[in-house]
Amino acid sequence: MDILKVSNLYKSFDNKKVINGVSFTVQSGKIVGLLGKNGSGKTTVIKMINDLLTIDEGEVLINGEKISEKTKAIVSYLPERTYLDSSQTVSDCIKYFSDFYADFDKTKALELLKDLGLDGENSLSKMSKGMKEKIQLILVMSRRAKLYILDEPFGGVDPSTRDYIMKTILKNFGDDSAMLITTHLIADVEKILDEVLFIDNGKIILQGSAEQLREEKGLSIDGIFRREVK
Amino acid sequence: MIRKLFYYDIKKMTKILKWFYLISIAFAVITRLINIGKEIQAIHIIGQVFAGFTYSAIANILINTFIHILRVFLYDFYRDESYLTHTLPVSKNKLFISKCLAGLAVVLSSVIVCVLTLFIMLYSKDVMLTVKSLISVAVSGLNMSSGAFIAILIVIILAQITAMMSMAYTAIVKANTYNRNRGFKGVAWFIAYYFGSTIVTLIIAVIVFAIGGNLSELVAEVMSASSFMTVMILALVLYPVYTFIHVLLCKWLFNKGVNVD
Repeated sequence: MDILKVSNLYKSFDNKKVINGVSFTVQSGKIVGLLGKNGSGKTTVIKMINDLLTIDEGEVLINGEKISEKTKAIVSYLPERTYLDSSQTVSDCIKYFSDFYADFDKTKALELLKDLGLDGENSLSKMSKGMKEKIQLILVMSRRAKLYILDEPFGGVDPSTRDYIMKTILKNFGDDSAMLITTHLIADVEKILDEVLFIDNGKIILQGSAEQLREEKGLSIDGIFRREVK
Repeated sequence: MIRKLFYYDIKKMTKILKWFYLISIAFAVITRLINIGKEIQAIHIIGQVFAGFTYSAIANILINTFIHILRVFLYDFYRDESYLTHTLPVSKNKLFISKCLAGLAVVLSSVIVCVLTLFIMLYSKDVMLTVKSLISVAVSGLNMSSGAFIAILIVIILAQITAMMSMAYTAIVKANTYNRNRGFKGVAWFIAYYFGSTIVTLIIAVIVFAIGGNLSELVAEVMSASSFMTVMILALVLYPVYTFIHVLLCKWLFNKGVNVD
């Protein structure tokens, strides 16, 4: 079943087309990589799916419905920036997520935080950017969402944090969920991808099953990407 | 859900303001205590200094009330925190209404704290008598009680602040429909809305006074009681109308969708 269906998306800024007819679907149980170099339009597509940018043309359907409060209740989104109010403590963030998201698993969040050696009274203002990103990831992955959208989860983090993020994603991703990950660090993520979408200049230039593409082209996804996207 | 949003909006808007409220009331209490011994010259001077601090604290509350209400609106809807706000399972309507109600509640609480501060610092039988006599001069000929006059004045001040707040909200939303120079455009749109409404008010006042045959009263040094009453009624009608128009415009622009950086 298509949990996410993106049809013919277009977006312009100051008369410059940045997204040019993007279409794809994400099915339940799949991890899909939206792969492209910096400035290719990955984040713009993700922002349109999450109602953070208006859509010039095209349609986004989540679980068969247009974007609304109902669809937002089943999407867990990790943006490429820190969106938590830094004057809050970790407990405040957990309470906020519990208050608004019916699918938020507080016990799971507390367990994951314990693994990081954090307790609720830690203030975000005293934490490094990397630590804040980890907390954000924990909050996002502690929801029992139908669709997880992770925008550049590995951007600007050290290799050990990358491993931590990867472990957290895999540990908490359920079979009945779907995931859309954007990244330009393909080598780090390709082993977990079921499907890939290559985006360049606001267009999908190649898409398909990761396994099939590897077999057809005789290269890794990273290798194919380097060849296709110049 | 709107109750939860309202709770978090109030919490954010008063995060720093609540300390300013405390400081203001603390200064008022200290000034009051110092003034017990004001017959002694040195203590009188110290009392005057603290009275100055208290007035500054009141001004600080008024300025910061606006800054914090607008900051929360801007940051929650268009800056980094908007990535969380707009992905909450809540309709845009509820997000918007919560911000308006929270803003209104914070304005009201700031006005109450300012009045309370003045009351703590200045209350005495003599001061109250002076205020009463000033008000009785003002209401003579208006055919209303002093209490009603004060109530109308407070309503007008609140209505004016609310109208300005709605204009500022609309200016922020309008400016964020553009891709560039959003800060500058926000200020420009606020000035346009404010002066636009001022010009409309002036035109309506001229028409009303011209129809009443007392246009010269508008520029007279001393206004008659009936003209003063007309001005108060105009304010009581026009400020809520401006608020209503701007809230509708702002809501319409906001519901069309946001473009977050």
